[in-house]
Amino acid sequence: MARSGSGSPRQRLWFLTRLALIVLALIITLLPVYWMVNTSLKTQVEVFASPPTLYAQNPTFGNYVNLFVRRHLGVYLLNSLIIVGSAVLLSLVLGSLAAYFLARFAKGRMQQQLNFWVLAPRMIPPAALVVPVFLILQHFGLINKKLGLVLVYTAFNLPFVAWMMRSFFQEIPVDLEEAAMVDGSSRLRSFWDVVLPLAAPGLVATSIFSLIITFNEFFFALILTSTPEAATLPVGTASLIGKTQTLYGEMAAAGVVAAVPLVVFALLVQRHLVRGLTMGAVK
Amino acid sequence: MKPRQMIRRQFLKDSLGVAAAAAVQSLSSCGGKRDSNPRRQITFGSYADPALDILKEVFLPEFERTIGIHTEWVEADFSSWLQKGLNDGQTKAGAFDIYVMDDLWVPRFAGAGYLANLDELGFQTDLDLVPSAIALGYWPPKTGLRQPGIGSNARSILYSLPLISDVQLLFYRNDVYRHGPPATWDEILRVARQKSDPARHQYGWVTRGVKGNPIVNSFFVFLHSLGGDIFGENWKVIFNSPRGVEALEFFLSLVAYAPPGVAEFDSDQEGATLLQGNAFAATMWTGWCPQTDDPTKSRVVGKINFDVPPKKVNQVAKLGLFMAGIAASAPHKTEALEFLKWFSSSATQIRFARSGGTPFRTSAFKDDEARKKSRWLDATLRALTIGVPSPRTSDWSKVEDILGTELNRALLERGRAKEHLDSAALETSAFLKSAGYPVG
Repeated sequence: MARSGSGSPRQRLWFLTRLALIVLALIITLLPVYWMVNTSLKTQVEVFASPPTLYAQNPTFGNYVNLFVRRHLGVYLLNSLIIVGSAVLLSLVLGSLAAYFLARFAKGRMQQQLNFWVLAPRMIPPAALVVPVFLILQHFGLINKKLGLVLVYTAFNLPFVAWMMRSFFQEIPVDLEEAAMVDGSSRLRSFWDVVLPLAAPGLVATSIFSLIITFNEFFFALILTSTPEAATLPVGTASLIGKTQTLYGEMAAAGVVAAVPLVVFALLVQRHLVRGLTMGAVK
Repeated sequence: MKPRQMIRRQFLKDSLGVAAAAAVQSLSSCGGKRDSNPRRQITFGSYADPALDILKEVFLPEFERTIGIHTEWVEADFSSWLQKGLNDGQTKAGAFDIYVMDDLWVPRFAGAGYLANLDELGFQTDLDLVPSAIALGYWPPKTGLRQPGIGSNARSILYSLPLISDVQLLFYRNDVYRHGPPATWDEILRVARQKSDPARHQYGWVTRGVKGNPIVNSFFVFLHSLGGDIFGENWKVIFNSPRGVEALEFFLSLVAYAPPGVAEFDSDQEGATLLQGNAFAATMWTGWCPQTDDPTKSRVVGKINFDVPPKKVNQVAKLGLFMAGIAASAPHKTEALEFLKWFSSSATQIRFARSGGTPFRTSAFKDDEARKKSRWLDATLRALTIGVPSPRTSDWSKVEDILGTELNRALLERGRAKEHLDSAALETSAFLKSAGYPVG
């Protein structure tokens, strides 16, 4: 307030303009989220009311109860948490090691070639990959298994993690590692003790992006799973679209439920996230 | 600040450890080949729909208790389940024992050999099963056109059974039609002209207008009601005959009294318009009936009645049943057959009807207690007896796409019925010819 009240009229005008733009941006960003939460608390008759109601007239948690009691969304949620958590963790471990190699050891033509081939899988449309992936998993008996999806998601996340982390590692001076090695550290130890802590914000930013991509992935989950044994939350949510009716209230509630794990994770790591988003490949 | 950071870091570390342990524990048991659990069980694969809720929530648990066979219900949205079901059939993966199908899919699944022969498995039909409903389970069809490559002497085999009867009924407002259900389409048009009031969001008619299956289903009743059809002899396309054109023109004249944006309406919007009290009449699936009396879903509780669709030249209703067939690759065929026998028995069907479900046995439709509970059962049985299914061919969905696109265009333009039907007929004929049909 002190800043808004002080300064010349021109400065005040600039401040108010910025404030208005921020409020506008927040409205545009948060309105769909508000509408989702709002719809999740409405009865079906109110969901379709015309004109629509801005807030639930008779708020109810019925949609949430139905989701977990009648539609068994808890099973899908648990599957998602296990599959996505495992895949992201695995891709962060493997991807960081690959990124470290790309940042430190790949030079000249080899660097160009490796960079290209690491990224190449991301250039193939998923629809073109789904049949071969299906056949491979079928061969190993991994269709409709959590492990199958974990492996697929890890494979798809790896290029992204490697490219993201490569730029974070490149920003860390080599001198620091060399100093550690002069003091007797092995290469791996200096990577673990010196490089990784410095790249923690990058790891956090990368993990957030990986989580979002993987948690929301629908296509492969739909094709590679058939039963609640392995199906993920997006697949479970899609099953709320019926032959003749769509359960909009329950879909909105499922959207809220799906957003919670990501929001919680983002809150837990927000200290690193801000720094991670302003350095490396995403700066 | 310091202690708080320590707590958060510790929490993160602990969470990571617990998550990793849980993941390892969970993943260690989920790789490898199929479960060879000898427990008697059936896995259903289905599309989602609220009409299936009574079956899932009341009757499957009852089946488990009384027969001792465990059931698993796997569902996806309508088109995803079709894809999954076809994948399962094609790869013979055996992930499902019973496929729940739209009746349109029976030719596709049965024709491709993805369904087990129920006659061979020992299922016996009887005269109490509603004839138009059980007829949808046969392939090739017992009557009507047969796909190329299927001889006229080929025996019709029972591949699937009805699971839930679903047919298009006339839903009408009893406070608008005070003297009973409208007997003719002309009466619906007359009342729509007289009483529609867009300023008060009151419309004489509402329908589905989305291209593809929804608008074709809506138009289908008008086409047959005016004496038209989709195909004539030898698969000749005749939906653009003078009767077809008249049907579309009548459909468009009625749509003039429908809410704005009806060209983008699917079942949801159609049902919502009626249940919000904004329309006087619509032809909708039986599955919507229970919602009309539920105050959390309807603003016009008690004000909607049901009847068979009105007459123009003929009186017809469109069939759209939920069917169930045993997968050819099912690992538990015996148990699946036990379920079909149990569920289709007269005793279970009567209990199903009394619980609010829509049965497929005449005796269940006529049960007094069931009729009291579900006041639409009488109209549903009458609609089933005059019911017409979509043409029985595995290529129907392609035809539906072509015709549905042109119908939607006519709806958007509110005219040029003949041009659009001719265009659809030309494209349909070309497609059928390329697929090996004699086309007239």
